[in-house]
Amino acid sequence: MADASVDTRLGLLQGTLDLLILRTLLDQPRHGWSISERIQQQSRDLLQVNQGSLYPALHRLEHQSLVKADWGISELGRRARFYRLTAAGRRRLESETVNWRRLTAAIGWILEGAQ
Amino acid sequence: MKPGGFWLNLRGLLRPRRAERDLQEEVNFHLAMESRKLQAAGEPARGAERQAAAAFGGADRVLEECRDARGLRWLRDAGRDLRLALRRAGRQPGFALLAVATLALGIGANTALFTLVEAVMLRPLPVPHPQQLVLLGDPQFNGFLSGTGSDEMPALSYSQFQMIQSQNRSLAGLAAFSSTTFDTPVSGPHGEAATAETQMVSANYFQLLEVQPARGRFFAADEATPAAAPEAVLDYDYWQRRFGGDPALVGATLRLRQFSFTVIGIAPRGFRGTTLGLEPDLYFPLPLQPRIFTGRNWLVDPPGVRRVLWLTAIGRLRPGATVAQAKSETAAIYARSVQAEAALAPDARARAELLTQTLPVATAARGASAVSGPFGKPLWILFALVGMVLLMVTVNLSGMLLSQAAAREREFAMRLALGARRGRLLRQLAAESLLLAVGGGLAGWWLALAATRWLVAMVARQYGLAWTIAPDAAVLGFTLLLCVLTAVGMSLAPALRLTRRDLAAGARRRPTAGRGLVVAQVALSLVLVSGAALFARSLGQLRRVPLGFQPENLYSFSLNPVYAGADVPRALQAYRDITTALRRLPGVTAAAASDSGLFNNQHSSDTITVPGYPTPADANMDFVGPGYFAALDIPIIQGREFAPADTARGLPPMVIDQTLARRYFPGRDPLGQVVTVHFSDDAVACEVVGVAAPVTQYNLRQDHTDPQFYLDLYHGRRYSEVPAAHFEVRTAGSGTLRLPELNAAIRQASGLSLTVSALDSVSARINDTLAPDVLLLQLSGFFALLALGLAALGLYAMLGWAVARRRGEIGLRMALGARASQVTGMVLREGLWLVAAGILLGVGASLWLGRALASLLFEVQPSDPLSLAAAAAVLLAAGGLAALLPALRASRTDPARTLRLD
Repeated sequence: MADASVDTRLGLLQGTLDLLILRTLLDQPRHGWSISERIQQQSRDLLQVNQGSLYPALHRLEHQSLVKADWGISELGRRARFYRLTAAGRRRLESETVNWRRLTAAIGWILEGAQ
Repeated sequence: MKPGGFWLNLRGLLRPRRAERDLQEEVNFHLAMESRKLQAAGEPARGAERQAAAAFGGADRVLEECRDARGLRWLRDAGRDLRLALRRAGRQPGFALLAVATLALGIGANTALFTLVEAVMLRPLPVPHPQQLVLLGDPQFNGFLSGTGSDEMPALSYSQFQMIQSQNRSLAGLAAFSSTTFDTPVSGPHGEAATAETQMVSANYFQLLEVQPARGRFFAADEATPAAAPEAVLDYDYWQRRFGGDPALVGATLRLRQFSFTVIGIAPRGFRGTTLGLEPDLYFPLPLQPRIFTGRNWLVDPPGVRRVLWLTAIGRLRPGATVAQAKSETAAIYARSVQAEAALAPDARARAELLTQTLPVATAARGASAVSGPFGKPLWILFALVGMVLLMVTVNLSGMLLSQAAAREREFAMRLALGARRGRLLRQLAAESLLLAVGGGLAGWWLALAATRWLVAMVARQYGLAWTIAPDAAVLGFTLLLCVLTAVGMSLAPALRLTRRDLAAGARRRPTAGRGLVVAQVALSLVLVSGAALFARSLGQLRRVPLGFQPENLYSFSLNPVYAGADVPRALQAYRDITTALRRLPGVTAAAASDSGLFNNQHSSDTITVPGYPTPADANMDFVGPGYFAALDIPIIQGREFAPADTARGLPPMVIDQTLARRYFPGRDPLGQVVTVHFSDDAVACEVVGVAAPVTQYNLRQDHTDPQFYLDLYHGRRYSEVPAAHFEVRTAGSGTLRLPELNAAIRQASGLSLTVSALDSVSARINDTLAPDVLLLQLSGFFALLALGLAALGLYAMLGWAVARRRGEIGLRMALGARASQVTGMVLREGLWLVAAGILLGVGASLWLGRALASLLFEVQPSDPLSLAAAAAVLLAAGGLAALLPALRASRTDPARTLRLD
């Protein structure tokens, strides 16, 4: 299987990228690059975030008050913008996770039935 | 919008460069991290950077998407909407111009009236904690008067003020100011004289108001003694205007008539005293009063009941004290002062009357007002009137936009079909309306500035006030609010229509909303037209009031010999000599002196006892000199008027008017009867020597059924202070009185340095008293015409559009044999039905709203059927004309062409 790239320009997957971003911020605040690295790592290199889509997504989430951004000092001692989950973001992550599980289960049943 | 989103938006809008820099830095950081990772994997530095950038994609596109995500998009959209709206307005310049012009009138008139309402009714005094202030006396009183009379007294005497000041507990302090300002000649440091408005205030006045001097200092407590060196505080604007804001003026010496005084300080900028409409130029301590008016001392109560009430007091409540406490405490102290006064009354009746006196006490965050009394009610009426005009303009434009919307239905239906969101279309509509409203608002603001200046100047002249106002931030806010409200109001109906789901179906439906708007316009204009008709009728009635004397070629002026240092006998002798000298002037045919004069709003009423009537009665009273009735051409019905020889007779003579004669001497000969006049300090028995025809001499609205009597100016009573007098002079033909000659003749005849004041032709003065009524008629008439025009235009546009839409149907009818006159009749009927419905609605509204006008109208009922019928007729005629044009156009429909077109 080749590397799948998550492209927000496909409307279908837009919510998915948001979900992945919110999930990576659950344990700690991260800057953009770290979020993309984390998604790649956690998906065992199967998913690679299209970086051009990542930042618009982050700004949209910030505009929706699901994440909050602050300037901080990165591990390299350089100024970086760190994103963290807000309470609303945490609630959204929970509900979206449940939705996602239902959706994948449903698609799974259909695909198995079709075989 | 969520708070996060809103603030991000705001930050992006307010500091676009900062937001942009942040975005760039964030992307740069990402690229640096990516390139470092690649380098760690063994890539050379140059290659790593290129690869990182490639993986990121076009940075510009990403930045753009980030901006969109931040919600800055609506700003660009708004810009686009505005450009579209401007383009549309440019394509229909006629409509845009009409809309902006009518909105400018509507918004401008409302802004002007709100400026006045805000300044007169709402604005608090520019002093700290104005809500702690209470006013003792009538806040609308502007003058001074003798302390006789009953019930509520509008002002205080000096001793009453001192008594309340020293005895009250609920007030942290009590100050006083003269209830009116006085014209005084003030000479500058180099001797040049000019009149200035002078107000006298207690030494603690500024301290109580907690204002700080712009320069210098305010009065110290020891200025409260008459012996102190005279000092004055100057108004800030006066200091700027008269002395160019010269800092050296503080400490300089100025002169007022006979005495010099030192300027010790300048009041703060924006502080115009505590009475709206009186703008003092100079403040003097109260004890200087006898030096400002030589010959009168209002600081000590003379023996007998001769107090002068000339002060209004203003107090600051102690923390925790209430107005009710201050009120009851003040009432108790005031009652003690009245009891002391009543003990001196000449008889039981006068004593009982004095004991009814009370003092009004009320909160005074807005201070006193010389304006809100005479002007308050008309102001509210006008405000309501212009509010209706703006409503009318809004409804009219709403109807116009609705007709236009019908024409644009195809455009909007297509855009909706192509996937445009409804919100987007609505926003465009709103942008178009807002553009018109803001255009109207800007023009209206400019209009309002001019209108306010004109109205204020007019009111100030009418009531002899020095009054200026300027719109402030509250007014600007009000205007902006009006712009938004009218924009929303006028786009509501078309917006609902344009965004209905079944646009295609709607295109065939009858325009019910448009009809409703036309009916509303007719109803509103009927209210305005009938209001104007009522004011016109009222003014007509006022002009028809019988005067009872000839005002043509009659002049009037007044003299006050107190200023020339005359005592009572000297003043009376001067009046005799002056009257004789006036009669000898070239072109003068008659002259006489009197106390109240004509149309000065000066009016005295006294109690009389008539033989045969057990209870005393009230009647109007005037002191007049010999020759008065002849000079004014007032017919003497019985007996004679006063003669110079009367002075030598026993009982003082009295002339009564016909009303008094009919009421108190029915079937009896009044001549020779003895009537007793009860003055507050004296009772005088008089002999009736004549009966005169009734006269309207105070103002046109006075009650004509009030009886009136006259006493001889020279033989009526013992004066305890010098009476001021008015002179009435009749000239032959077109002769006029010239001031320099008049002054010279008067000075020569009397030997006193007297100066004529208020020289007027009596006709002009009577006309002046009608100025507020004329103003109301002019304004209401102008707005009624505007409303009428708009309603006609609205009907015309609606019918024109309906005819255009039904062209096919009309063509078919004509093809089937309908005559042109039948088609005309059909359209005309439709229009007239709408007008009739509007008239019916409008008459109902007029009857309901008209009651508010009652107190402004003279001898006309607000439900006056003539005015309502006239208004209905005018509207029917205008509506008929407006409907005729589209009706005729419909009748000229060419059936062949229209049928082929469809």
